[in-house]
Amino acid sequence: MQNFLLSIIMFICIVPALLIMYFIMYPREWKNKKRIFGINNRKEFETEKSAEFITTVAETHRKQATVILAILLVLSVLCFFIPVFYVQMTVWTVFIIIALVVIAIPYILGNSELKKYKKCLGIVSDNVLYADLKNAGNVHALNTSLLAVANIAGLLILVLSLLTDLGIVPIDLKVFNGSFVLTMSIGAVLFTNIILIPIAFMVDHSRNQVISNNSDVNANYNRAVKKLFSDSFIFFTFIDDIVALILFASFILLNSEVTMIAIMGIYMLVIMGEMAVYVSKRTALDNRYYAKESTIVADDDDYWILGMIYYNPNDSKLNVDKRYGMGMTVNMAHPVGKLIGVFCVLSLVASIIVLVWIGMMGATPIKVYDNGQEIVCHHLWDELKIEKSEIVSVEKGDLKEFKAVKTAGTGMDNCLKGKFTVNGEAGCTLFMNPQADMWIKINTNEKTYYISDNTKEGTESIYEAISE
Amino acid sequence: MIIKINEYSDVPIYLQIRNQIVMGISSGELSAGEQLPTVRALSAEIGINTMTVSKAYQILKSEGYILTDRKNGARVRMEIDQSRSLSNENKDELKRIVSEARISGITRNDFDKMIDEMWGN
Repeated sequence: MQNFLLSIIMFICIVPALLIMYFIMYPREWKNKKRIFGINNRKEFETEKSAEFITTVAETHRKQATVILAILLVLSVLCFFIPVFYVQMTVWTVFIIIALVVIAIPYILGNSELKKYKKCLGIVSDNVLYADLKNAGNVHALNTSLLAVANIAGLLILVLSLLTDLGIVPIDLKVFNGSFVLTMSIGAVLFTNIILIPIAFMVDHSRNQVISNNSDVNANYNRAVKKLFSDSFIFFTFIDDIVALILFASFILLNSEVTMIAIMGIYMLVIMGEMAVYVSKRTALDNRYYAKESTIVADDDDYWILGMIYYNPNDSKLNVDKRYGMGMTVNMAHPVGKLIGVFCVLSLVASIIVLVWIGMMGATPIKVYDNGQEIVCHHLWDELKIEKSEIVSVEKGDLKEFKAVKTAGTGMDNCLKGKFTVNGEAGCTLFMNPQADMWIKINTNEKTYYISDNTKEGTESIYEAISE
Repeated sequence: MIIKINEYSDVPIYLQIRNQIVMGISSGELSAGEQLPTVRALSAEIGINTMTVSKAYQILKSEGYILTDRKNGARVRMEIDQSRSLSNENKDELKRIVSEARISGITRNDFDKMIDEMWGN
């Protein structure tokens, strides 16, 4: 059940994201789009020869993307059938990262081909920056009062949960009573709201795009774009509040981890739905303005590496509108942008390493053997050696009355390794496979060890060997 | 009014801003008393340093095209001083343009037409 729910959540995260990326990156009709493969659509592309070439490029890469999408969808279904939880979690995470990269490959190829084609047509960047004097710093659409209301509501829910955990508000929780898990869970959900506040203001104060010589057209377009952002941010904030309230209610009424996971699954589904709505509205807006009102096309294509990473040393601005999709990205030539880039890469690499490590820990059983002189417990790169001559006493037991609280080390469903307090006795060293359903307690003059092999039979034979 | 800044032009960016605001005032795109964006807003909009915009505004102020104060920011002057004469620098520039026009074979008539178009009604 745990595996299935994890797969459902991961599936809800990745599949809508892939579909949204597919429909944005590979539109069926490129002629009325603002950009094609991250290259600004321009008058020169409308000639018969150019249109024919670009249609061929667009169709070819759309077909490639369709095949990739189909393969990724099949693989995402196959991930449901991975049996071991930790392995499944690792595979899902690695698969999500790879899928997000792979679906963009035809887009990157298309971007490269169109950049070359632009050069063939003799289109050279004029390096002109446009600014609308009348709209500079004047176009805003963020409904600050509604954003404040949504955040205050969230704060009240958080305060209520904290007071409940502290026992000041007399509400009985069915699960985790008095352990602050309620406050932490609600805090984690509402933390997104805190992150959204500066982003909302940053987007609202972002640079206006100049698409026309008419200042009113520019103002209307930018206001509409910012209004879309603002509405999405406020929607997300209210959704977080509602999820926090539902979590609170589930702590009071239900005693089920499954419900919690189901709530998170529905939450992800709603967020993906809102993103799809945003993208469709934004596409309609761009189609309407770029088809009818646009008279200026700023040529900044060369500053977009692979059509998606902005690198412009001449631009002092840190945040810029993304080339496709929702939200903003950073200028990688900006010192802060470089720091963010390095941080993102390191986080990504670190998260993969940690997941692979967790997966290996969970999937690899502890091996225990007797080498004549010592009892050796081996797990991955860790080894515990107990000198047989130092053993004072040995006993065995099952896990029915075995309570271990971790002090330091690894405490997983199928691996207990490190320093633990066992049945009230502190400082015990554990090297155990709980699935063996048995333990061997070894006392030496200085330490207490609990060990077990990965099977009950193996553990029994080790016990026999030590007893002799 | 749309400002166009060429990053690779020989003309410094602050001067490009100054020239285009002067042209905007002359053409009527910027009317008398019209509010100009703050230094911070315009620099963020173009993606350049605030000092560059500040320098352009200082020149415009010293030349008498705009007024600046801390409370209201920058505005186009209601009445710009009409000296009815060109500065020596501008005269030299005009002389250079006329000379190049003559060398390139533009007739006086065509040159006048160009000036009429630029001058407006």
